[in-house]
Amino acid sequence: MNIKTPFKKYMMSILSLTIGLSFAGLSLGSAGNKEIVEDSIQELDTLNKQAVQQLPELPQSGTVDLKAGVTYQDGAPTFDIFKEHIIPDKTEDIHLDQGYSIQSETQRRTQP
Amino acid sequence: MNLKHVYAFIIFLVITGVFATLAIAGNKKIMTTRAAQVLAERALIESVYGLKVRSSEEVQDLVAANFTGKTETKTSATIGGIKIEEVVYDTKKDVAKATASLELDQITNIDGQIVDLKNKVFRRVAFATSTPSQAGPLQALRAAEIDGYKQLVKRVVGFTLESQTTVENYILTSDLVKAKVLATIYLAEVTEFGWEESGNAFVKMVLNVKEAGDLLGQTIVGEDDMIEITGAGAQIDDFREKS
Repeated sequence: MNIKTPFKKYMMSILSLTIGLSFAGLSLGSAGNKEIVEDSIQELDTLNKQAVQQLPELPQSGTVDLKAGVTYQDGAPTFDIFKEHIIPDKTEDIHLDQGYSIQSETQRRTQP
Repeated sequence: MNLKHVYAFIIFLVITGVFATLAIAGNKKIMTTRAAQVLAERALIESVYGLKVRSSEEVQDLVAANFTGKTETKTSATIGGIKIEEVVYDTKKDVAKATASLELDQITNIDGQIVDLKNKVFRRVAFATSTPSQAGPLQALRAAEIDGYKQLVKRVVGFTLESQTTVENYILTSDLVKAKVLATIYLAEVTEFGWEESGNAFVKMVLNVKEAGDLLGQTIVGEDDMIEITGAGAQIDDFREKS
C-alpha cells in the first residue's frame, strides 16, 4: 500500500502534465493562418456574389464568368463589370431520330 | 584523488562557461539592434515615400486548402533626416525594437509627385533578431504589415475581380474567385500593432485620405475621409503543416 500511493501520485502527475501539454499544443495549433485564410475566402465569396448579382440577366441556372473592377465608395464596394459570359442551362428533349443543323460563322457572314 | 578530479571538473566548467558567455557577448547585440534600425528606416520610407504592392488571391470551390494568396512589396529611396529615437534590446530573447522618425518639408514620392509634408512627423517601429527561434512573432508582424498595405491599396485604388460562378435555381456558388491588384501607396500610418494570445500578429493602419489629398494638393474623391484597416499575420501555415 505504501509503495502504491507514491506510484499513484507519480502517475497522476505524469497524466496531468500530459493533459496540460496537450492543451498547450492545441492552443499553439491555433497560432496558424487558418482563420485569416477563412476570412479572406469569406470576403472573396461575398464580393463575387455581390458582383454577379449586378448582372441584369442572370439565368435561373447556368454558369457565369465575370471580370470586374472593384472600387470603394463610402466604404461600400462598387463594381465596374467589363467582361461577362453567361451560359444558361437549358432543359429540353433531344431527339436522337432526326437531323440538326449548325449555323457556322461563314454562313452567318454570307447570309443577307 | 576523486575529490581532485571533481574540483578540476568544476574549474573546467566555470572556465568553459566564462568563455561561452564571452562568445555570446560578441556581435549578436550589434547585429540585432542594427537590423532593427534598418527595418525601422524601411518602414518610414514605406510610409512617407511609398511602396509598390502587387497582390493576388485565388480560391477554388471556397475550400481553404485551395486558397493561394501572395503579396509582394517593393520600395527604394534615398532619404536623409531619419532619426533613430530609441533602441531597446532584450538580451534574453535577442530581440531589438527600434523607433525611427522623420520630419520633412517636402518629398518626391514613389509616383514622382511632390508632396508638401508640412514638417509632419512620421514615426515607425520595427523589431529584429539574429536568433532564428525568435523570428516567428517578428515574421508574423511583418506579414501583418504587408497584409495591411494590401488592404489599404484595395480600398484606395480598387482591384480586379475575376470569377467563375455556378447558378442553380437562383442560388450562387463561387467556383473560382481571383482578386488582383498592382498599385502604389504612400502616407499610410501604423497606429497600433501587437500579437494576440494565439501568436498571430495584427497591425492597424490608417490613411487619412483628406490629409493625403491636402498634402498632394489634389482632391481625392469618392472615399471616406479616413480609411482604417487591420492587417493580420500568422507564424504557422496550417495548410502546409498538414500536407
